[in-house]
Amino acid sequence: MPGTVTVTERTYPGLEDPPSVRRLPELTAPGVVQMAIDEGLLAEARWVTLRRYLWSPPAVSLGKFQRLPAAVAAPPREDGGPLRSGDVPPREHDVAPPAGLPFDVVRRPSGGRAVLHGAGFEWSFAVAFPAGWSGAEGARRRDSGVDEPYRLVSAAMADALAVAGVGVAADREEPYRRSALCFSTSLRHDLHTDYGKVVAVAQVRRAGAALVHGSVLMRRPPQELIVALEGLVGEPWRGEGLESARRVSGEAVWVSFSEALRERLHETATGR
Amino acid sequence: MADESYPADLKYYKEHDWVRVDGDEATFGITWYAQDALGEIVYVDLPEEGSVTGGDTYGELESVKAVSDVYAPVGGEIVAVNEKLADEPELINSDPYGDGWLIRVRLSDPADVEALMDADAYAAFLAEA
Repeated sequence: MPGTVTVTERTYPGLEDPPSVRRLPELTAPGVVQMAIDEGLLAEARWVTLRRYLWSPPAVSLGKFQRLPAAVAAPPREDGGPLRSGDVPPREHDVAPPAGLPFDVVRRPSGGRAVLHGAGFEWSFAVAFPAGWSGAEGARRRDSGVDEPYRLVSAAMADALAVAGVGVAADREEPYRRSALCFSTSLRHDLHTDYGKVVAVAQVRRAGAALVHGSVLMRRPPQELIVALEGLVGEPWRGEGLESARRVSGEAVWVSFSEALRERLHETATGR
Repeated sequence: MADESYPADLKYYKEHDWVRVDGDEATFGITWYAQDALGEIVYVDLPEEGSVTGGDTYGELESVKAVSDVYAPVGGEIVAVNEKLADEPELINSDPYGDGWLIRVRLSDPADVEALMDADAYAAFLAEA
C-alpha cells in the first residue's frame, strides 16, 4: 500500500455506552485498515461492538470468496493465523488490482458481492457479536443462525431511517442470482427506498462470533468511480442512494442507529 | 431444498455437523438445520488434503448472506473431498446427507465417535435452541 495512511477519529459525546455494548470512535482510513480492524473485532470483541467508518481513499471491497473476471487476485496470506492486536493488516485484505484504478481494491472477511465505498457518497458500519453475545443467563448458543444478527441490525437501521423521515422496506428479497455488485441484488434484510437499495449488509461467522458489515449509500458515486467499477466487474452500476428519497445526515442516522440497536439488544437479552 | 430430517444412522456434533461411520473411515457434512440457517450455499472452501482435529474448523461455507466455519466432529486424515461441490455447492441444501457431503476422513480414533450425539439426542439439542 503506497503512501501515508491517514486516520481520522471522531467521537459522539453525550452517548454513554452500557457495559454490554461498546461503540468505537468513527474512523476515516483506507480500506485495508478498516478490514483489519473488523477482523480484530471478530476475533477479539468481548462485547457487542459497533463502529461507523469512512473509506479514504475510495475502495471497492470484494466478498470473502468473490472472484472477478479481471486479473484481481489476493496474494496468499503469510502466516495463516488470525489477526492479533497490533499486527500489521494481513495481506489477504490488500488485493492487487489492475493498474490505474481510481480506488483501492480490498477483500472483506464477510460474504457477498462487491461494494463501492468512499467518503462523500457512502459510509460503512460494523457490528461484532461475540460468542454468546446476549450476555444474559441462557445466552444464545453460537448456532443462533445468521438471521438474528441481521434482524437486529436491519431493524435498528430501519428505525434510524424512520427517525430521519425515510421509509424503508426490508422485504424486497429477490431470488438469488449471481451478480458482481452488492447493490444490484436484493436479499433479506437489505433496506430499500422507492429508488432502490440503500443499505446493504453482509456477515461472517467464526468460532461462534458474528460480524455484520453494513454499507449505507447516501448518493450516487462520482461518475469516474462508476465507470472504473463497471469496467472492472463487467456489469452496470445500480444505486442512487438514500438522498434520492430525502436529504439526511449520515451522522444523525448513525446516532439513531446506535441507540436503536442498543435498545433492541437490551430487549433481546432480557426477553422483553 | 430438502425436507427437515435427522437420519438415525448418523452421529451428530453440537456445531450441526453429521458423521457417517464406515469402518475406520467417516464422512462429514452439515445437518439440515445448519443448511437451513445458512440459506443457499454459493461457495465451499475445503482443504484438499491433510488432517482435521475434532472440534476445530477445517473449511468455510459461503451462503447468499454469510461466510461460516465448518467444524470437524472428530479427528482424522482426509481421504476424500466432495469435488462436486465446487460446481454445485447447492447440493448441500438439496441433499445435505447425500450428495452434499463435505469430506471423508480416516479416523484418528474410531472410539471418538461414541462421544457424539445420536439422532434423538440431536433433536433434543435442537429443541433447546
